[in-house]
Amino acid sequence: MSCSDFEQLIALYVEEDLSVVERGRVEVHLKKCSACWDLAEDLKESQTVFKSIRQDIPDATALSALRERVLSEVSGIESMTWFERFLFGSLRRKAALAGIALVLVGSGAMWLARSLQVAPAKPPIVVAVNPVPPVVVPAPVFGEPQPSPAPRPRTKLTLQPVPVPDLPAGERKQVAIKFLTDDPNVIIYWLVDEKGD
Amino acid sequence: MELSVSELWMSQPNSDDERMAKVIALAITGDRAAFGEIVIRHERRVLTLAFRLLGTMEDAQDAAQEVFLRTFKYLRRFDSSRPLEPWLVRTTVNVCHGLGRKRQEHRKVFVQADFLEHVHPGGNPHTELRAEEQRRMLHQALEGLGEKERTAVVLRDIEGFTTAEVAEILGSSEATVRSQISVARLKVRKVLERMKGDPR
Repeated sequence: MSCSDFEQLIALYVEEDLSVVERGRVEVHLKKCSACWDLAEDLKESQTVFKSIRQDIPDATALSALRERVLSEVSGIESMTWFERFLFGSLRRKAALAGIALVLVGSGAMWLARSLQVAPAKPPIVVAVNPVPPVVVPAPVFGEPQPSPAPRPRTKLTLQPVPVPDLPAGERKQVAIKFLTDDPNVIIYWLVDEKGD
Repeated sequence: MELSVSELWMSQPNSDDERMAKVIALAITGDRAAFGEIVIRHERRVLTLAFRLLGTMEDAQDAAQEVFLRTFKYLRRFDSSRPLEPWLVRTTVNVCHGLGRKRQEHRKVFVQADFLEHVHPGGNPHTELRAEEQRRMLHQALEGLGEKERTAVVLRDIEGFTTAEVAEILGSSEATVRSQISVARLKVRKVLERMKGDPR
């Protein structure tokens, strides 16, 4: 190790901030290196100054000014909200709070246990749909001019109520309404409940 | 008999600590008289440390005020069975770091060592004058350090905490703190040497 490597160790050596092994290495080096010995002496001197200012204290005026400022500020602020005062106020309050919490947790657990019970399965709603007769469209014939086909009479939408199986009283019934249009590919189903929602 | 910092830090609760625990418990409920007692008990240490970290009494007073206001606000988070001082020291360091960064750009003149009183006045006037000059130079040398180095060396060499305690306060490893202290001591020594050669 060179002297520059030892510098940092010497800076710690002067205040006994080294391990026993490191301390031994530094002491061996100091015995044979006068430059590092001088460095150690300088560092010890500056450490003495450090220790001398350790005893310094702020003057009484500064302390009283600080105290006045702090207590004046504190008088204007609330340290805690009402809830925090309740929470951190005293042991009796904490005990009461723990009791309330216990009751709440117990009630919650009971409610949860009830709600997790399996409900009876409802019968599925079956909607019967009336069959729609297929519409046959004649294939077009090419070559001869064909007379334009007479316009088909416009079919009105047909409302076909679909029977729905009886459901227990109190349950919402649903009705499927089927609209037939003149286009066989378009069928409109309208699912409404009993009240028309 | 005065206890060392380390002894205070590691000490077991005694009757005075128990009384302080009661005072703290009262202060937690918002008792301002109890909080006033806490301020009186710790104001000297907080203000001195803030002054050493920030360099001016004006900044130190602002920092110390902030430390005590935070203490008042967050005292309920503190375990009242433990000594309050380490907690206050940590808060002071944190507040000073924040304040120091804010004011670093505006600060031109740092050292105001005259705001601290020296507890051993008297003796040879020449010796006193030399000691006073050394203190002034040391404060100037501290000003030349980086924030982390200055904090580490102030806590270790001036406030008297052990390396382990400094590491705990700063939330660093002991190895990091040792490195910071070592670098800081060497820099301070160089500055002092330069000042001795050029007393301007």
